[in-house]
Amino acid sequence: MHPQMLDEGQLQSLFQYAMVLSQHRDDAYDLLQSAVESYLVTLKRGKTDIDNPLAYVRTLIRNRYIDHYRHRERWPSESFEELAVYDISPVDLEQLTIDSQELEDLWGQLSLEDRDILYHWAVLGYSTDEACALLDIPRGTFLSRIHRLRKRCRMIANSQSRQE
Amino acid sequence: MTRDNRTQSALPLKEAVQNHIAEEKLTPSELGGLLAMQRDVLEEHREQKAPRAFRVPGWLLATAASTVLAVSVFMWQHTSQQALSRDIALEVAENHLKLKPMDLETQSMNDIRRYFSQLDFSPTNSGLMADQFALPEGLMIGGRYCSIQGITAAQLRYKGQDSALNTFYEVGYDEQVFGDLPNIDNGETPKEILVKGLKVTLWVEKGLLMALVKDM
Repeated sequence: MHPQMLDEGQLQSLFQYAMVLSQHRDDAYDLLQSAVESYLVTLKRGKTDIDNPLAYVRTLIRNRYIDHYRHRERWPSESFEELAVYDISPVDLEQLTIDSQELEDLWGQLSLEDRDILYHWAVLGYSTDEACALLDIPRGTFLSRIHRLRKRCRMIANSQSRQE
Repeated sequence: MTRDNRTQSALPLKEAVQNHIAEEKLTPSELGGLLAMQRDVLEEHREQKAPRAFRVPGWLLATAASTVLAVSVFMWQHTSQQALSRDIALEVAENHLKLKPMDLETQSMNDIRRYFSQLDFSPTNSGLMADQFALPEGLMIGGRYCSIQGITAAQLRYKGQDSALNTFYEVGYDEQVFGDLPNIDNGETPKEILVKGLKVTLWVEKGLLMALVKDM
């Protein structure tokens, strides 16, 4: 296999990332396909110093998705209120528990950026601080997101308790 | 599910997110397509870069160097241009066959220009579409974003008088990316390539690479 070719595991991982962003199977496949095409074009033009093709194509996917949604004006913008600082330690995130059905319910309600952060934290193994730096999201904004995430977890748990 | 059962099945958020994300998988055919696309492009690229397998004696090399060089450059350019044009033709043909939903339904190029604001060029009518292919603006039915060789492009759709669906592509022309293609503004003739049972016509006009895909 060509050393710069993405293998099956890498393609599956990139597809999962595209799904995290788009939440739509066809869009995710299109996103992945066009990012891989762009990567191949870059290689054909003689750029041989791509040390980590997986990270390179992941960035292409993210940039393409953001461009697309900025165009459609659906990329979320932060309100002033969201910049308020909450007293939450990143450790709290590690301590949250959730069952798969709750997460299923919650996942569709999360913003793009929330899903993106959770992906970088849970799947790629970044700390929350590293994920914020990588995704260029202010730490205060991130903490407010976690605050809301915890509230949503609690709301779902409470509503299910009431139903029972 | 009882409260107790749910508590038992609760996972750390990190593990739950990992499980949720891992549920999404490419199908074997999608995976195969992406692997084949990479193999085709990278193998071809490697062949083009591979060193020659034989050595020419020094004296002969000295006398024939200029000829060999000229022929090699010509052949390399010719071969890579052919391969590049075919890559473009295959890509637009695949878009034609997929026929994904349109982003915008309209018969007006003005609407198209207003909608496709993400492009780094302004979509425009081609002189050839009405004159040579009998596909004037009035037969347009809409369009969608797509990409050609990784660059964002517009796909416009025309329903011909014979009711056949034609897809027409426009993207900003960059010779470094798309190679040397015939420019009809210089009196050159469009290039026709047959792929996947379709006729793809490629040309450059008004600074744009244009491609028309028609059923044969």
